[in-house]
This record gives sequence, structure tokens and C-alpha cells, in this order.
Amino acid sequence: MFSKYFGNFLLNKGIITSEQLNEVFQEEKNSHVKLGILALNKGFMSLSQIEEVNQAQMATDKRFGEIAIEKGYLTIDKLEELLTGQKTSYLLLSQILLDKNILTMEQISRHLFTYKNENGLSNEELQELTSDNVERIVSNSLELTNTSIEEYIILLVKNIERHLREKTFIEVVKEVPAEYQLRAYQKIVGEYSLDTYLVFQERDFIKVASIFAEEVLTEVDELCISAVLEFLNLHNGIFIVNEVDKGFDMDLKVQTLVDDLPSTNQALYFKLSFGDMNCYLCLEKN
Amino acid sequence: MNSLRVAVCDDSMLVRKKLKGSLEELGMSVVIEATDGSDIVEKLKETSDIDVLFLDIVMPNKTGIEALEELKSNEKTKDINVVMVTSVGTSKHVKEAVKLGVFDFMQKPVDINVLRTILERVKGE
Repeated sequence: MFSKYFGNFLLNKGIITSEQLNEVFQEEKNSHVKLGILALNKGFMSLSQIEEVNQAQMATDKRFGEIAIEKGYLTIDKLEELLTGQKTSYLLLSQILLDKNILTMEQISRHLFTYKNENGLSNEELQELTSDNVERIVSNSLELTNTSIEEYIILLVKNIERHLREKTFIEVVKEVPAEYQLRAYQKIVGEYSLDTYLVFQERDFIKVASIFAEEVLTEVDELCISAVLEFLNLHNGIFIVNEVDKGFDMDLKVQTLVDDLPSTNQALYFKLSFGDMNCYLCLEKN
Repeated sequence: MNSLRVAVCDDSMLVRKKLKGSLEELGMSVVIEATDGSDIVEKLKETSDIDVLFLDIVMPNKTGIEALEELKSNEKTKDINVVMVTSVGTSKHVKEAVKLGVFDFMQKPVDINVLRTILERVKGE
């Protein structure tokens, strides 16, 4: 995930072009080796165990390794061995930049040092970022003061990775462009209430629905709408289970498409870019 | 696995489609599809000859818990095995549903292996 941030930093500094960055991201997507594949390759886990862990991962906020250990399929030592073999997005990005002769090793190190200084990061914080620590990346890039909203976004980024299989770049924005007319909405109620909106333009709405439904959808029909709404519902379901575990009494209302969004002075707006798709997240805490 | 008569109730067309596909893959026949709590209560008034009902919780008109309460208080439908299918498996829902006599719970997204185990339990295998 950090590659999205460092890649955009290089782009904004004019060090690489957007064509080069797109090419690098495409290459990165093709090269990322999932932990399950590594475990299978090493003979640590069987295919059915991997499928079982992948399925369990869909419904909870836990990492692959965590579930595999809980189920007794991996030991901590074996998990560490696998994690060492799985390159972080920063390492992959660096390798691709080098292989394509876009930057030298010395230039990459220098730009990472500039990134660290411009963002006021300690060595430990930089280490967490380059290790793809989602919590640190979201916390560092958004600087939110509200813990539950920050946790909501961290979980959404993880769920986009789990269910839509894409890494996310997220930024705070002031408004949603006019062409983003499809607005999935669900209200979380309880000890506090949170209005949650995922806002898309038609093309990306259909793409997200197709990935989540695991079939090719071509128009915004009932199945397509139900797929996007179900993704939001699944994400919010996991979020409130986490909140209930912390002692909050929370529940969900029925998810639906809506016409209106709250005004910008009432709500927080974020742009999420993943794959070649974009959507806007709007959160209004009451 | 011998076939059971199954009903599915979820407001999401995607979930109904996936669940129906998995059930049919396991040799079950889905004889009733409903889109919310009121819909399933009405449909089961007409045909209560059902072995198992897969019921969502968060739905419009009548929630899964409200529908479960009605079904369990009706002589005609009280013996149907109800499995709650949900993304919101909080302890509050579990307590309410258990108190009302729910048969089991199943987490979304639907896992065919979990589904198979539940169906085997319904049949007492």
C-alpha cells in the first residue's frame, strides 16, 4: 500500500511521469505474491486450508497469518518465514523502478529520505510505512482526530484489499465531483450514529459490483446495485462487530441508494483510489 | 445429501442469488425466495412445508429478528429450522435469536462448507 503513497510523491515531484507510474503499478499488481500462495509453495499449508482461511478472512477483521495460526495451520516461526519472503509494496516498487531503469538505487534512497523529512517522520514511523502498516499509513496521511472514524477508514482500506483485491490511496477532499451520482448509503446507530456513504460514477460502480459479485455486470441493474450495497453492508457489519467488542452498543439500518449527500461542513469527505477506480467516502458522525 | 425444502430471505438480490446457487449445488431445492421480513412471514402463511429457512437480519419493513419472532409464535411455522445469515453477528442479535429458538447462525459471505455442515445438522446426519 505504501507504494501508492511513495509513487504519488515521486509523481508530484516530477521525478517520474504518470505513464511510468501506471506501468509500475500494473507491474506491481502482477508481481504481488499472496501469503497463501507462498504457504502452498513451501508446503506449509494445503489448498483446502488456504481456502478455509481465505473464507474466514472475508468475514472478520483479521490477517491471513493470524487466522492460520488460530486454526493451527501455521506456527509463528513459519509465518515469519513467509512474511520475509513476501516483498513489501515499497520493495516491489523500488525493484520495478530499478529494473525499468527509471531511477537508480541511490536516487530511490534519496527520495525516500526527502519523503521522510517532508512528512516529519521518525525512522520507526518510516519503517512502519515501508512495511505496509495500514494503520500507520492512514494515520500519517489523514491525521484524523476522531478515533472511530480513523478505525472505520482503516477497516475500509483493508476490506477493499480483501474483497476487491486492490491497494488503496486515500486523501481528504472538500467535495464530490458532479459525475459521481451513485450513492450507496447505510446508517450505523447506537451509542453514536454514523452516516456512511460510498459514492461512485457509473463506470466504477459497475466495476466494483462485478468484482464483488464475481461475475461480469454491464449495467446498473438490481443485481449490480445489490452487490455494491452488500459490500458496504459487509464492511459496516464487521466495523460494528469490532465496536460492539469494545463495549459500544451499535446496530445497522438497511443499506440503500440515496440522492443527496450531507453538506461539506457537516461531513468528512475522502477520495479513495484503487486499481483504476475511484470512489468517495462520506462520513457524518452525529 | 438428500434434498431439503429450503426458503431464502434476504433483501439483497446478490445474497439470494449466491445462497440459492450454493444450495442448489448441494442438491437442495429452494422453494421460497423472499425479499424482507414481511414478505417471508406472508409467504410462509401460504406454504409452511419448509425444512429450513435462511434469514437475513438487517432488512426493510420487518427485520429478521422480528420475522423470527412471528414465525416462532405461529403454530404453523414454529417448527421451521431458522438459520440467521448475517454480516452483523453481534452478541445482542445472537442472544435475541437464541431466545426465540433459532437453529443456527451463518456469517456472510456464504461459505459452502459451513452451509453443508448446517444442512447436515438440519437433517440430523
